[in-house]
Amino acid sequence: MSFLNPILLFGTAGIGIPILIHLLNRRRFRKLPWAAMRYLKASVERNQRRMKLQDWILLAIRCLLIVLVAIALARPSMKGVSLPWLGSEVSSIIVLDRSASMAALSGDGSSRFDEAKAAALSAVRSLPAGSAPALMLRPSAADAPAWLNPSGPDDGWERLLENLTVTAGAADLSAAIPRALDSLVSLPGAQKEIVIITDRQQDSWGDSEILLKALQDAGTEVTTHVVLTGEARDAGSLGSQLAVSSVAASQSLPIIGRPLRFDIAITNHGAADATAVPVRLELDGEPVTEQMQIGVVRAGQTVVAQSYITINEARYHHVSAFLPDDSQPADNQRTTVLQVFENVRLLVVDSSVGTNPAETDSFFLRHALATTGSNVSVIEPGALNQRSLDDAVAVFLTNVPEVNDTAAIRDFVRGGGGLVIFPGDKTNADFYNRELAPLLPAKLGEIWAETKTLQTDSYLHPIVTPWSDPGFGSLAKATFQRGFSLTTDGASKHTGKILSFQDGSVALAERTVELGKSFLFASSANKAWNDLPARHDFVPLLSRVVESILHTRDAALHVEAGTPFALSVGEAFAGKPAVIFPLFSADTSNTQGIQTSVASDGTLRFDATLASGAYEATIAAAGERLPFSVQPVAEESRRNELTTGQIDSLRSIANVIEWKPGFDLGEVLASERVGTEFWKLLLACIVALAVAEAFLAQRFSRSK
Amino acid sequence: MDPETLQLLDPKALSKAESLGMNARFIVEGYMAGEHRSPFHGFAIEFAQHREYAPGDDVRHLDWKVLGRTERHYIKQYEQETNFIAHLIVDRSESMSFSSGEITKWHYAKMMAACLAYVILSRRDAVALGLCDESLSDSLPRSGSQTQLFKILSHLAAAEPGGGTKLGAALDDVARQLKRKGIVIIISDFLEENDDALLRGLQHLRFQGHEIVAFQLLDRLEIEFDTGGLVEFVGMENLPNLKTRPAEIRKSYLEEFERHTRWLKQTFTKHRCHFRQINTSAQIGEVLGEYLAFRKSHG
Repeated sequence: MSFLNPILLFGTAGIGIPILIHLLNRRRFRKLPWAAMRYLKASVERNQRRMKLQDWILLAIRCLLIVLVAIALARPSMKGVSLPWLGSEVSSIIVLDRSASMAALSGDGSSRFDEAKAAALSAVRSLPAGSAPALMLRPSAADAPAWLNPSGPDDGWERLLENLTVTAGAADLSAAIPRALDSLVSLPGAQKEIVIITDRQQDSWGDSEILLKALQDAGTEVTTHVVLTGEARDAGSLGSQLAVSSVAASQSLPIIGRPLRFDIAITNHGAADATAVPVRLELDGEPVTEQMQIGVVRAGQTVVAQSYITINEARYHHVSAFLPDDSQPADNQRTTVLQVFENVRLLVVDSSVGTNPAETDSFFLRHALATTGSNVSVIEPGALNQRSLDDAVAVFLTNVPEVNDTAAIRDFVRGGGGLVIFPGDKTNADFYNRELAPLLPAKLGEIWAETKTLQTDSYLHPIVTPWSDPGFGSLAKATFQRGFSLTTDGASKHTGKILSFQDGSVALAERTVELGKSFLFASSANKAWNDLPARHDFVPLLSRVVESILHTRDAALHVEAGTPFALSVGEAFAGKPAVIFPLFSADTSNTQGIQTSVASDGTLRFDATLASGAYEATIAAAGERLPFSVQPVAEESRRNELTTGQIDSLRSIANVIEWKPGFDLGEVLASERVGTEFWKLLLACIVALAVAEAFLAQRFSRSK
Repeated sequence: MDPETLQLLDPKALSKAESLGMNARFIVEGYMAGEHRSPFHGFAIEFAQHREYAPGDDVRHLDWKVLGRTERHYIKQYEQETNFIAHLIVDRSESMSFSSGEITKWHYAKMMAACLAYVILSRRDAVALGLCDESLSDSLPRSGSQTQLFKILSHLAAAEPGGGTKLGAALDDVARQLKRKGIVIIISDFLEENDDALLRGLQHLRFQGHEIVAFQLLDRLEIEFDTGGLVEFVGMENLPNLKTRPAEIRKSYLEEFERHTRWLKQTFTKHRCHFRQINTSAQIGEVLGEYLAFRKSHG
């Protein structure tokens, strides 16, 4: 027998209160001279013994009440006794870290996640009968505790735990634990505990201050256990640990029949160099090249391997890179999705069509675009509408005063198209600022007239990075005589400056609009205001702008594991059923795919992005396949373990258990639990005694 | 009783015999309006009525004619005119000083005695007064003179309650001292511890041929015992104190009280005595008027 609030046992001293009242009452007799003592004496003699006995009974009950109240407040409990009706059941939430780092293997070949599952099984099995266990299997702000069968452990959750696999995502314990605590605090049960089973990956703990505060706020109401799986290893003891940190098509237009270059970045997160690293590349699940081999990847370094793939089918394709399994298998593969075109259709809008071709506003532009291999069409502003935008990748406005169908342009860009604006003397700045404001990367201001040149260095934006190499070209040699003052919104994360003039004013700005992108040049696309269109740097600059548009569109098809995939497919498909299949997976258990439906706003959403790899969504009504890829979280590849100091600070608010093979977590948890509490039984006794006291006091005070 | 009357019954006012006499006269003439022929029948020449024979009655007064015709024993009673003697025996023990209100039993007893003396002397009958506690401690010889009333009133006014109650012994004393038969009127609370002694005193008086009328004066609280809380009852007449919660023993007390009252009634009735229990919160005039009317109608 032990007491959870032993200090309150001092309350038993309150037993003196009824005794004191009893003694004080004896001094409170009112004196009354009395003549008829013969009647009184006989009555008192007849009743005195009974009254004394009744007094003693009431005094004893009152003393007992005080003692029981004090004991109940001290919360007596007894371990090893399981009486659910007395509150021995435990409300327990097991937060199981399934992040990619949990896949790390230990020396005996078992993973941290294997240990975590064993720990979770042991924890649930150790719960007293009638307990309500809950699991949080995707620790994040969005994960709610899933309560298991409250009537007691059964095979269902054992199978569930045994079949669990590690995900390619990250864990956010700092968001998940407060949520678990909120859920526990709102429960009526007497014993509440949270068992966090994780590895030592520091990133999983997120904002430790929020977490520590949440645990401190929970106080003694919730017992917190942190089970750390995996061995603590210093950096020196780690071997090499390779990860595919990125797979991306290089900056070239993805057109069928052309060799496309893919850059595969391999990072060594280990402490030892890796040599002769084989890299395997697959296109749509099929090997496409001979296996590459990287000579050496030094510890902490990233090596980019390049491979060329020629794709002959115009559609979306998955390209995957694979490394051999190592101690951290979750990051040994990565898949990218890209759309390959038969030709890239670009639409140039020119209001000067019909004049001498060489004097049109788009003369230099369309020739520059044509050299990229794109299919360039030139139309007048009046012909720009929804139909003309079909199949176009980007639309270029060259000195166009106004456009009629601004709604069509907005929908086009939002759906993944590109808008590139070259202003000129006919451009109605007010119209652009007003009607195309949601698309413009910058506000068009006054026209300036002075000689300007572009920046000579600091080409940080990916589009202009190649000009950092003087051998690639020199944008600074172009001269500008006129242009619009451009004002970007510095606070917006969707807008950015790509190029500046040497005076710091904006020369080229971009804006991401949902799946699409818009670009705004400060000057014209012909030689009227500058000589850039006549320079050879103009062609690669335009090419990279178009590639950026395509990459932005493809980027929406890539999500990190654990992040919901959401793609706008149009309100026309709202409510339509959809099926999502993992592609090229060795796991054939899910041949039916994951059934879902398009949301009312036309968004196709898929939350269970747990495993990395290639996926395909099919909307039955559309008959269209939408590919996407789930990529492992890069932070999970890094070995960034909790420091000894951090573990010690964790110990100050939680019971930290460092898992070792053969460890019986259930036994440890059971020893930490209070067992059966008896306050309910005592409360029942107190109520019964109080009722008895009231009844007897009333009955005893009746005239006899 | 209206406040004005209560003021007249204030102990300070009653301390003077004149005041006592005035009150007695006020009560008798106020409350008991009309002619009050003495209902206390003695043994005079003028026949008054028959009454059933009781043991102790003088067989000389048996109506032989009635006995011969009906075989019932009746005694002839005669209206006494001049030689009627009333002995007023007033209990002055300490228990008589109890009061839960304005008037103590002692004050009530004095007023009763004064009223009775007034009524009896107004018919030119003789009245004697005896004050008793553990014995007959004070007495005033009988007289039918007009000054007797003032003497009685003076005696009553001068007396203070005190001492224990041994009413039985006191009645023995009275019986021994009375030479001539008369009516003995006992005014007491009858809180005599020794019931046997009381019975003996009563029998002694009856044996000597006295008619006995008993008025038991009790305070309202002694009758109803409806006090509450924690009370230490301080025993009068040197009886030990008792601490108790009266509300919890009220039923038992009332049973004891009823038992004693029943015994008193049975005992007095058995000895052909009149017994009246009087709550001192009742108006004396009404109580006396009711009793005198009863006595007149029932002999």
